Amino acid sequence: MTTKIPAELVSEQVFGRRNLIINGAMRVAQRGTSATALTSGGLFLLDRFKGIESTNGAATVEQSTDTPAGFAKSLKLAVTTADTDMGGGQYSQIKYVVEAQDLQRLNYGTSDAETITLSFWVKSSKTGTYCISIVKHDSTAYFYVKEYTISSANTWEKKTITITPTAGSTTFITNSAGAIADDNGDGLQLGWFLSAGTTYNGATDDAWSSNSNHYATSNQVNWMDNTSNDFYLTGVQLEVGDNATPFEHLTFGEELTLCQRYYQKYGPYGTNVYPLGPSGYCYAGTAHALGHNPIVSLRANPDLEITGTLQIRGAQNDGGNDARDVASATVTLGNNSILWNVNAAAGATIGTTPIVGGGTNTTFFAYDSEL
Amino acid sequence: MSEIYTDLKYVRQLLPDGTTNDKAGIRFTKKNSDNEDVVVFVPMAEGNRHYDDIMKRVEEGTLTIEAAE
Repeated sequence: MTTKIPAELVSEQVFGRRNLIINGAMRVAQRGTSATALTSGGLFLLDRFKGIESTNGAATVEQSTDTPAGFAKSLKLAVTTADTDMGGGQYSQIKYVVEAQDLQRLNYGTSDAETITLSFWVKSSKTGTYCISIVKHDSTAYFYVKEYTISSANTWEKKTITITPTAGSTTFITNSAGAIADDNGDGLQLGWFLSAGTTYNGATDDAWSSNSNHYATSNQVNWMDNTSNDFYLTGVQLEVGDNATPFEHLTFGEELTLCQRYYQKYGPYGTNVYPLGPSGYCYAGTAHALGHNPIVSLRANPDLEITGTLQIRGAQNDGGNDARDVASATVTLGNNSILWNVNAAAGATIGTTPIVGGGTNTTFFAYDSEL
Repeated sequence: MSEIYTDLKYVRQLLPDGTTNDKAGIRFTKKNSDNEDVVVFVPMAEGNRHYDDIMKRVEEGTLTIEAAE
């Protein structure tokens, strides 16, 4: 892919995979694309971006084709039940978590800590002051907030936020407690806040803090206050340096593969009932051990999500199309392999070599290893 | 706010050595974007965000996991 970078930016920027954000163009949506109600615990619809609505109102998330030039998809939130009075501990946000080992280039926890720049395209029917929250959890947790303004209603605007490690004349990030562990855990949390009650809106603009309630400032608008409010986001890029370079476009295949480290889906076929992948052996009348090689290496031991009736097939020496509903399963992540231990309906023949299949043509399973 | 876990239970597994593990995993149910029922099997493994969240809340006394059926 070709990206044009102005000459004045060349001397200070990193080239090649500059963007620390996966799916910043909002193209990958393995779980679905249509409007889905947000929950207080958070909901992933578009890959890697989690919508959270913890208010007395309600909102939905969906994938949209309303975009600025150069993009094909955006993430859209819409208020469906208004909440005009944000309670103290209430809030709504779009959240993204960067894996810790991908952030080692930031040199956090040292005097060489890097300045980083977040850029994104945003559009909303509600103008005013919004807040970006950044949380670094490892070692000691530190919290950063930066305001930005949506100036014109229903108009795409590009925002650029530069975060220095000493913002607010602090030394939190440049001291050792500012370090981000070199592991597969939570590195930096980015939050696009849409509303925040008084418990969470006491932060100072453009400053690092050790206060664990500092997610927004008191200027944050209450986006939840009207059912006509919507909020679109795309072109999200986080990079090392003082400047925002043009968005780094990847191919769809590259972006999907990066997303699959955190979520990957198998099936459904849609037209018939077929094997879905894992295969192994029967070791008791109800119990089976199976192996499966995931599409790409998962971040951590995943959840197994089953939608529809998953079945063990071929576990009986009756010469027929034997199928037994899966009652329970556990999955254990090995080195690029996943072990399934499955309990299914009784009567299987020990020593047979069953496979996992869909009980209907809409059955599928997924591994969820999100942060 | 915390994630809501519906029908939260431990998973019992008969293992190849003939023993039974009554806490081989944890399961709960949820709805997906098409409002379909989804059964989620959570591994007993630190680093899995649901396992970490559930165990933190169990330790705090704000969540209970039912025994396996």
